[in-house]
Amino acid sequence: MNKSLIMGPVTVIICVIILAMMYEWVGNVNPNTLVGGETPELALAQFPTNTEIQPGQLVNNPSFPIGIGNGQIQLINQAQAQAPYLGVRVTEINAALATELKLPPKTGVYVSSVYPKSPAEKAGIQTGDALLKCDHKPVNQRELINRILQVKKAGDVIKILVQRNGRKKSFHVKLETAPAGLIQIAATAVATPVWMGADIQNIDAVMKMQFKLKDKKGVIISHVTPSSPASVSGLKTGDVIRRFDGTRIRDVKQLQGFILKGQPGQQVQLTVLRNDNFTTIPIVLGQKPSQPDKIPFLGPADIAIEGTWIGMDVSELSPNDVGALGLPDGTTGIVVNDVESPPALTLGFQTGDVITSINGVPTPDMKRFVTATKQQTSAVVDLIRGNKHLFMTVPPPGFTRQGTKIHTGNTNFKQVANMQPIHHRVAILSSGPQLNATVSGNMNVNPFIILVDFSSQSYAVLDQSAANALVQALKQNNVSALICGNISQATVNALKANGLIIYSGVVGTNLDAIHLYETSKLWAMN
Amino acid sequence: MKYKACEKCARSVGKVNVAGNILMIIVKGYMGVVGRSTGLIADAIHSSADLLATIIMIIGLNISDREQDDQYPYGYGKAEYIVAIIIYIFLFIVGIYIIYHGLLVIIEGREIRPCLSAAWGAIFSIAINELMFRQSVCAGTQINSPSMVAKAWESRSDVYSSVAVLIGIIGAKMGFHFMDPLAAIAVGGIILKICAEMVKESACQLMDQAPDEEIIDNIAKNLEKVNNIFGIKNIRGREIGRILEFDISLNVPEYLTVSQGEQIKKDAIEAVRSSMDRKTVVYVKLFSV
Repeated sequence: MNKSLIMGPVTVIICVIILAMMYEWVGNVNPNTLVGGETPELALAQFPTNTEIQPGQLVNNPSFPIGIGNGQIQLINQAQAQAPYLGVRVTEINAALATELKLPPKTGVYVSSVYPKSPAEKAGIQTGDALLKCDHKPVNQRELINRILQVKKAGDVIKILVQRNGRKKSFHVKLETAPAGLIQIAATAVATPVWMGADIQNIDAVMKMQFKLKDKKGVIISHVTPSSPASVSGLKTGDVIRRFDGTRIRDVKQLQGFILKGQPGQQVQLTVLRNDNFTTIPIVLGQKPSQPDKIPFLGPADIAIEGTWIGMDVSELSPNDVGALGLPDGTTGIVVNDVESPPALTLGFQTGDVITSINGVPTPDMKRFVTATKQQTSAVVDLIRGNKHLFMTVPPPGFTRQGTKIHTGNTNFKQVANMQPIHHRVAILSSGPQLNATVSGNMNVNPFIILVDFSSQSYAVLDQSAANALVQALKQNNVSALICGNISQATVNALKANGLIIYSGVVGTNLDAIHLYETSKLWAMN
Repeated sequence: MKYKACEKCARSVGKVNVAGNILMIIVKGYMGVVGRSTGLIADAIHSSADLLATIIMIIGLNISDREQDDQYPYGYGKAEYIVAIIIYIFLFIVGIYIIYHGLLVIIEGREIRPCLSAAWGAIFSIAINELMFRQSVCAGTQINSPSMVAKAWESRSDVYSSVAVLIGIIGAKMGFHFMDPLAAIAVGGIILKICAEMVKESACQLMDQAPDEEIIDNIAKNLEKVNNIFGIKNIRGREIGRILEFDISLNVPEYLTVSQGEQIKKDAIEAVRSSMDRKTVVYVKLFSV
């Protein structure tokens, strides 16, 4: 039979199958996640439950969709009157605590205190429980609990599943209205300056690329303090503030000036660029709360897991460090122990910086940190320095933060088959078989060995398996020097015994490394 | 015929149908996904079913043209029906799935919130379907082909499914979020109906169902005009693909010579063929009285 005759119905049938899949997907999709859907603003609008209100903090009104107008104040009062209250203070569980509680990572929240006479206490929830499920839904952030409680009202009974001493227990909690004492509108606390609760930064070229922005206008939010006015009105990390009450924002200084001039309780409209869409978010300026009390931590296992990245020594943040650095409890990340060499040195990393995520990928432990750094040629690093969150950008090797090239390497190299023996060859351990791949040091991932011959401006690539017998491979091919990342002492010793010159700790692409070698800018190991 | 171009127009009906359906599948599928309307996606599947019907017809025409060989001495005409049955059973399952999933969405109370672009997709579909219907009816009337007009009226039901989808989307826009899945269920029902009819028809053809009585009567009338025939003993007919096959037994006087008998056969075949507008194979047997 003719081929085109079969293709016709087959194409249409495939089409039908795709449509059927789309049909299922559209039926299952949550309308609140729609782009351009009807009420995403409503889903974002959440007000803190009473458990989170600190003394001295202004109670913020939730951001209702624009257009409700003057009736807003009444609505808020009603909403607050009905806001149910569980009566626990929770913190998120970090890796160390998770091991301590024998929980899989990313499950549950830690009950750090239970309010007396609260529904939670009446039901039997205790400090030290790990709260796993709330109203049959798994929770691992306190925002999730808030979201669940939001749709409930006083008098509703919800089921709470906790893990206590390794055993799961469930409780039925009858929600109540929050006692009035917990809500303190701090009209008196005027000493602290006006506060939005979001750390902001100017945008540079790397951030523009990582957050897929079209231009560098406005300021980017690097962190939103929980239960601050910013988080209440739904601002998120990565949002770009473009306008403040209609005025274009050029830089951080200008926006800070506007905020400081504002009054606590004043409502302003922020025009925010999120996912390429402009949204106007109303936000009520508040005041900075006094530092919350430190909650003593469970005795953690203090194991320092160390590593290196772009010229600095890093280790996993231990709960002790959290206390020492004055960070909020439950902070997880990678702490910078020592900044040794460029590029970290020139980029402005400091000892004591805590890296919480790279390009939006959280780095709570060393394993995830290594995975996150490996995949990056350029990165926006989310770090905490003191009490400030900021984005630190790491440009791709050979580029500045503003996206201009530092220098152009010699690109005239041509690949040739590996023929021997040629004198004065240099080998590079590389993550890929091309010259624009990055220099590698990790022998465990089977790096490629690239042989560079400067006299003939050519290079050859050895098979990955050659790295298993590195020393032999280099000797066979008459290599005099090896350029690599950080390699182990054992490898170094083996190479030295064979009289090889080692240029280790090199970061960047092979081409850059070659260029540096040619211009005698690499330093050999002693 | 009103205009010179009418014949050309009539010949293009099939092509316009295929092109229109492909366009509608793409537009409705895209709009349905972007506008999040389950009803519109179901309607796109409905259009696919229509397109498949046309494609099967074209395949049938091509297969019937293939000559019989030693292995299949009666030709390949019936392959079309087998293909049709397989495809429509597949579509039947898809239809059941559409209804099942639509019910699931309604029972679980999930809110489908289609956006207005989906409504434009439905309006587009209604317009295209109506235009195609008008063209078929007009062309069919002008070139005097009742079958074309009948087919056009049949395909008018496509408009109704799009109307249902439009109502569903507008209903959902007004706040009745169950309306869109409900429209999808309605479209699923229409798909099931089409599939059931097509499977039944194809199965009947495979079973050598007799052609319409009108055709038989017409042949009988024509045969009576042939000379030297006493009467018609029996007429059997069946369809092999697009080809009609008739087995005709005639009563003739016993004194006829063989050559006269052959002449009667020739005349009878000629008479039958002249009354048919399709490719026809006729076998004539003579019985003496």
